[in-house]
Amino acid sequence: MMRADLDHGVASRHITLLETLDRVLNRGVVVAGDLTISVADVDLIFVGLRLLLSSVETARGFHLTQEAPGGTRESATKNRQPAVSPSGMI
Amino acid sequence: MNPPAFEDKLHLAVGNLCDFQEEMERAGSATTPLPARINADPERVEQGLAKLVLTLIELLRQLMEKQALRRIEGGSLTSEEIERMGLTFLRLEAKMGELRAHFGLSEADLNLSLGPLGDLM
Amino acid sequence: MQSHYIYGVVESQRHPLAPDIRGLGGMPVYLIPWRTLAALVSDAPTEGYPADPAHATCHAAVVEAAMEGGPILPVRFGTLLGGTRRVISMLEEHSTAFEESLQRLRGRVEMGLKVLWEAGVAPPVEDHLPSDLDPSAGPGRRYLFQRLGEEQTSEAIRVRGEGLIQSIQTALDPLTEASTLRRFATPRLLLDAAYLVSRERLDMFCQGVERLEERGSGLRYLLSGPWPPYSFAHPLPSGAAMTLSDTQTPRWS
Repeated sequence: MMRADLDHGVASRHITLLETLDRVLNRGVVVAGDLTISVADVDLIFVGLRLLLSSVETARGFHLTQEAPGGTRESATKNRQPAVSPSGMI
Repeated sequence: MNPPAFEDKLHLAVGNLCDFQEEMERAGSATTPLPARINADPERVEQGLAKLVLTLIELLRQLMEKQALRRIEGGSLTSEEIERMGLTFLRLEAKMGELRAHFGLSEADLNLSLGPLGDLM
Repeated sequence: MQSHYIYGVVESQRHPLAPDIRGLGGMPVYLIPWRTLAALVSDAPTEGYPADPAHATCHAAVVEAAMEGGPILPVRFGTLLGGTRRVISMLEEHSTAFEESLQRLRGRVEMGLKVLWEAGVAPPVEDHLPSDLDPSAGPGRRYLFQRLGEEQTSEAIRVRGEGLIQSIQTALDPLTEASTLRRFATPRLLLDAAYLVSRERLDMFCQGVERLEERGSGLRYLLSGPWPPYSFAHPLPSGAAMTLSDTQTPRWS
């Protein structure tokens, strides 16, 4: 597989991830929950990029075709504590 | 959890995707504007206060500078007055740099997100 | 009492979600209905889940799957409600707004557009000194005249940028039902927009963007979607169209 294709695939998936995160975290109806999880101290861009990089490295190592990173790589984020605040919004 | 089914979400991506990626990250669209959890660590509290104070000082500095530029354009100042004002702004800029360095803050740190109203500066 | 993680608000009369769809924590996703509305939820621990890409992506996948079977108002990540009664009272409290929004969004999708503009970056500062500045001018004057030059350049760039944004909007408005714009998010990111487009007109909209792209004008386009209508889901305030500041201007038809 060509290096250029691989890089384009990585960038494409990363952008899709950024677009997804932007919508899910910043937009949508805000409901007054009993608990609302805020994203205070988690550097999502960095974590997202690490997820993608690790999947690219794995693919290169095993000469696999491109796989979208699944929602399964929890280990990269286990040491992050959720920042929770019992706040309500409209 | 399901694997995300987000193939084929991008269309018409012309040329170098990395440029878009870079700008999107700069624009910070994937980080939330929600208020941060209150952190009681004294050092962080001090830095948080410094950030607020320095942001306000920076805002005032920018407003005063704009005022000065309008007066220069209006032609109501002598060369000496302009020179004195300019030196003051230069000194203030240097001082701000020192204060920022002391609290470990970058230029980009001095801004306030006003949510849907965008950034303060 | 069971905590419910909420993904969105839907119609109670709708196609069921595919049975293999799993929500956060691998939990099944189901509806808690109240009259014509329903909350799309999964059972969750009281402390919820961390806001990281894996969980956010899972949330997004649930909303995406739900969109297949009917309109959905996507709810922002990270909301938990304690108990079925709380969920139902939430639906009841906002029922008018939710019903109106679901009607408005039926058969519509969101498309994202980002436009890069190389000319949006100001030339380096050394170019800003006026050529007729007295060479013996002191540092104070040099500084302020430099700032004046920078300001005038930025202003000229902004005016040109606004013109380009306007022509993009003029081209796309007839093909969309609503839009939210973020102008000049960075010097190069001229426009970061979301458009509400009906499914029937989606192809025409995409062609419209392609035509803009063919124009050139030094602009590069990134079109993404279709997405569930995250940017258009919030209830309208009672009465007229919403106006916000320049950075985000939803426009309702």
